[in-house]
Amino acid sequence: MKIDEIQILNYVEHKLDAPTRAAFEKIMENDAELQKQVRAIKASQLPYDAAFAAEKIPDVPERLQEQLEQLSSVSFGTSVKQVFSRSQRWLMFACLCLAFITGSLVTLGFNSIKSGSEYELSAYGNHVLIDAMIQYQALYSRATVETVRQSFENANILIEDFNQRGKYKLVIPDFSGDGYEFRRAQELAFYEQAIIQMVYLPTNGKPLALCVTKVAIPNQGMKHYQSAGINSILWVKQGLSYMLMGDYTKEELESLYKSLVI
Amino acid sequence: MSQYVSENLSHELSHLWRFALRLTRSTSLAEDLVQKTAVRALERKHQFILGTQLRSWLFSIMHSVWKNDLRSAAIRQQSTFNLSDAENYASEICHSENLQLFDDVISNVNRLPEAQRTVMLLVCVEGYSYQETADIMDVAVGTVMSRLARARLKIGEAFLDKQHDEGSGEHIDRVSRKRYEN
Repeated sequence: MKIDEIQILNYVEHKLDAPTRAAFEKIMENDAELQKQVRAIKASQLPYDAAFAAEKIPDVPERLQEQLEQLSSVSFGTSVKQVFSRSQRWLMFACLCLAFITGSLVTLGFNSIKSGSEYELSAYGNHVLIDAMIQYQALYSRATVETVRQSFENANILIEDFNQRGKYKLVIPDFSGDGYEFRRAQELAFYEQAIIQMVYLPTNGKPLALCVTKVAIPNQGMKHYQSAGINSILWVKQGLSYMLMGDYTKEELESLYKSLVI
Repeated sequence: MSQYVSENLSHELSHLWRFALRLTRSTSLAEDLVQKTAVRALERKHQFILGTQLRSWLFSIMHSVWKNDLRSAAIRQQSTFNLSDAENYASEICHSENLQLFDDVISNVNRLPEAQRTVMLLVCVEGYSYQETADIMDVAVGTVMSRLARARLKIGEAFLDKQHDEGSGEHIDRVSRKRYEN
């Protein structure tokens, strides 16, 4: 009979059948080391759950709660109401309801209650969606995408599917010449509106993302926008709103934008 | 199915936070770990099988993220720096007649190698079965049992040494027997 730690544990916890237990005890009679191990396992019968239950755990940080709600809102719209202020909430809800009824998003007439930047932003898409995407990007650390590596082939299947659904001509930009390695493309949803997120990682530094979603608005040139401390470059081309974003300077993002369009 | 994850994720936050704190022993690392777990869970929400336990699924993601983080030298270094931070909250035990015992139990579990410590947390603290723990850690049941046995052996040896040093183990024996004897 070969004795290992599992058998010692099973012996102490009375989980061995009678013949095995008898054989175990016979071996133990003349094995001082085994006796010592049995004593140790017996001594380890301790109130683990009670000890950890008595441990004072710090409260969940408020910002973590908020971030989780933001994350849920990007992936699934119903909890988005928890992220924004009351006025933003009803405005967003009204915008989205109207947008879905008329079949077009944004460019709705709420100019009088929109701030200047929101109004300007609406020329590039739904400002609530743009803000949500930027806030989502703000949660991406280098470690989040460091271990992610999707092949171009697999990513292209996703992009092709997106293109076929809307007759778009989206391609995955290659930023490798600028030092940004493609890591992954995925489809997210904001109130069931599809958003393609393509993530890149430089040799050093934070992740870069290009997010694309459909819009029913005319082409627009480049616009810089900042939210949650994250810079973004927005433009609209052929029914698609592009959002290039990351923890980079405006100039760095503009340079990448130019490498795409020139 | 995927909506289920989004809708219920916030209900699991306190459990995720507690498990993350115990894994990382640092409030800042735990915060980061919960965030990453949530991002990954939402990205893979279509993989969640309705009818199975959301918490186990989230713990499995959290464990996988933490394992990857540990591979990073930077995180390992940060973890060392933050041990004092962890020590602060781990040493705070609610008033109990078993204060010293509880403190010793937690200290000994925290001193275990990572893989053994995680098994102890899942089996002995969270109350998962060997099979559930194996699923969460993505290892064989035998590996879980082996790690648990080794962990228990180390903890037991530490307690025996302590008893020997103090000249009496009656208090520990009394408390553990009272709670664990069948």
